[in-house]
Amino acid sequence: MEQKTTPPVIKAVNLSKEFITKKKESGIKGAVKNLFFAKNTVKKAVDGISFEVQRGEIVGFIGPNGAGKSTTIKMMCGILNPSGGEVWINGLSPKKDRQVIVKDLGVVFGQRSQLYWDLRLGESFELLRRIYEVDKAKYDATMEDLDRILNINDIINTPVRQLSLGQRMRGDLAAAMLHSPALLFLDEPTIGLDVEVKYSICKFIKEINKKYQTTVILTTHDLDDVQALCDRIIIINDGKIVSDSSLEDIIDKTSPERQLIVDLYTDDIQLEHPRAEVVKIEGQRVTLKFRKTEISASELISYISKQYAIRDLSLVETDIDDVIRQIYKQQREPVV
Amino acid sequence: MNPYLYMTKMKLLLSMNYRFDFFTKLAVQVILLFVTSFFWKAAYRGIDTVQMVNEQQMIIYSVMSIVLASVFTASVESNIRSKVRQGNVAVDYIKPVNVFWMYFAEDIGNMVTNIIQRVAPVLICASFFIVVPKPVSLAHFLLFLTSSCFSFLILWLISALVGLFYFKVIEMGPIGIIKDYLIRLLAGTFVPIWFFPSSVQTVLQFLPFIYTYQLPLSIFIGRTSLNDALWGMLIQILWVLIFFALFVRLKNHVERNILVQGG
Ligand SMILES: Nc1ncnc2c1ncn2[C@@H]1O[C@H](COP(=O)(O)OP(=O)(O)OP(=O)(O)O)[C@@H](O)[C@H]1O
Ligand SMILES: [Mg+2]
Repeated sequence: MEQKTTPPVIKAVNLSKEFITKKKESGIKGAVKNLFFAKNTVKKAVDGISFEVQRGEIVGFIGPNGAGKSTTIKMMCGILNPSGGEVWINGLSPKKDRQVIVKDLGVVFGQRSQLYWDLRLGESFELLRRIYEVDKAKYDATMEDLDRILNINDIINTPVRQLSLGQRMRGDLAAAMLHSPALLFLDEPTIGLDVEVKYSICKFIKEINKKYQTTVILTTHDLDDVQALCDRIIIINDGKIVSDSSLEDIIDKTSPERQLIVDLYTDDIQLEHPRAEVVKIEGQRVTLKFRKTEISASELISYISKQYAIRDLSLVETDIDDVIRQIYKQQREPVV
Repeated sequence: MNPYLYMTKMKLLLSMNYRFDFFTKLAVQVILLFVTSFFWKAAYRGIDTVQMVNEQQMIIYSVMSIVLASVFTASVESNIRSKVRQGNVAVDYIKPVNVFWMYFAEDIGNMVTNIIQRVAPVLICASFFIVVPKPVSLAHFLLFLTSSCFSFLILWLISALVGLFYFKVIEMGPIGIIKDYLIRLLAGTFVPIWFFPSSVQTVLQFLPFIYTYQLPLSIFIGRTSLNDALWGMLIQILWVLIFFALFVRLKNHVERNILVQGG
């Protein structure tokens, strides 16, 4: 097979989901009223999004609470049917071929577990091995890999209900990876985890991506994870895609300014530069704002050091949380 | 091993672990056993046979009714109910399996557990203190077993159908429990339908309920002839087909518009 026309792993065109909920009134009078004239309200959870994902990409889906991230993921795995538009996974529609698609798909819903509550963790794995028809030798090899990164063997004999949140999450990740899927959907996989586990999960995702070219879609509210993992970030707000680019591009576009803080030996400071702005002068400390595209930090530093002796300095990069918050705020105005 | 079989095995091993559950349920059954047998002894005082059934047969009927009730479990309904409420249906549907075959396999596992754990104690207790529940003939016994399998299918499909409704309405309050007792009542588990007024009997002939408990039980005690038993089983098969068709339609409808709660 030639590699010339590999179709995108995911292709979504105008994908939409409307939830119809009955508006209920409270109280006894309301309850009677609800029986007869419950009003339907329509909520557009996902509102016509289109995107493509190629094999081997790690894409971060971010957006404020209720933006429609989980809904999009659910439509991509075929558990929810779109109310408009369409999505294809490897050219197949999850609506029609759910069972086929799901065979090569690993999904982790952070707040839910696919493990059997009452059983030892290993028992759930054994069931999954049979569901996905993984042969024993392959399974053992995969488990060894998973154990190396996620320390699965420490917890494999513990009943799932006795696992801590982080341990359970490790178990769930392993369960999703057991059949070495080519596509991985992770909906908040690091929710409530300690730094150590978070780090190992990020490492794990990176490793399988590199080793097997696994395509990963990740939603999270932890921007450190996104920064560590994602080549590409899709920001969703109010059911619409507001930005689709790499993290650097986002920073360059929305908040291209960096800050330079310089401590001098004098408090008599007269500083000016055509391509940098002095934000404030406080005693012996000057804060300057400048754009990466206009002047480099070293250029600016050497300019200052020609006039004053520099005691100390620090460069403040844009805080990605700020950047993202700014994008969330400018609803519906696409950042292009 | 096939994943569905493995599920059955897992369920079997799992429910074997619940000791407490085992003893409380057993205690309830033993109490029920004595209460019903005293009831029928009192009811039959001074009477030989009613509706072609004597006291001995009637007591065997109620013993076997308790045995059947302890074997038949259909947890699909409560299973779906709790999964829909917590939004966990999603994790079943991300697996490449037929989800309802999985639920069925779980229930088969539960049923095998019940046969192993509950049938023997109830039968032993009944044989020692009440009556030895002996079938009238081997042929009757075999027909009883076959008919019971169909009964289970009917009950399971009803339970699955009700379960499917939970996708639509989420909360049905006590309807689930009321339904269970209504089925048991109309199925003749406590009092056989032949004691009901004849108009009620006629109506019940056309409903599925008596084909769940009463038919296999009256085959067991010999009230239903072998010939009638075969006819009865034909009607059972008809009900299985009707419910199966309904089930497939509703299932397809629900799966096309699956409602997954929350994010
Ligand atoms: N089953 C449902 N019925 C009705 N409305 C729903 C349902 N599921 C989700 N919604 C609504 O759809 C919108 C998008 O929900 P979704 O779960 O996709 O958000 P999210 O981006 O994953 O948010 P979070 O970051 O909080 O997980 C929300 O406003 C939510 O209230
Ligand atoms: Mg979500």
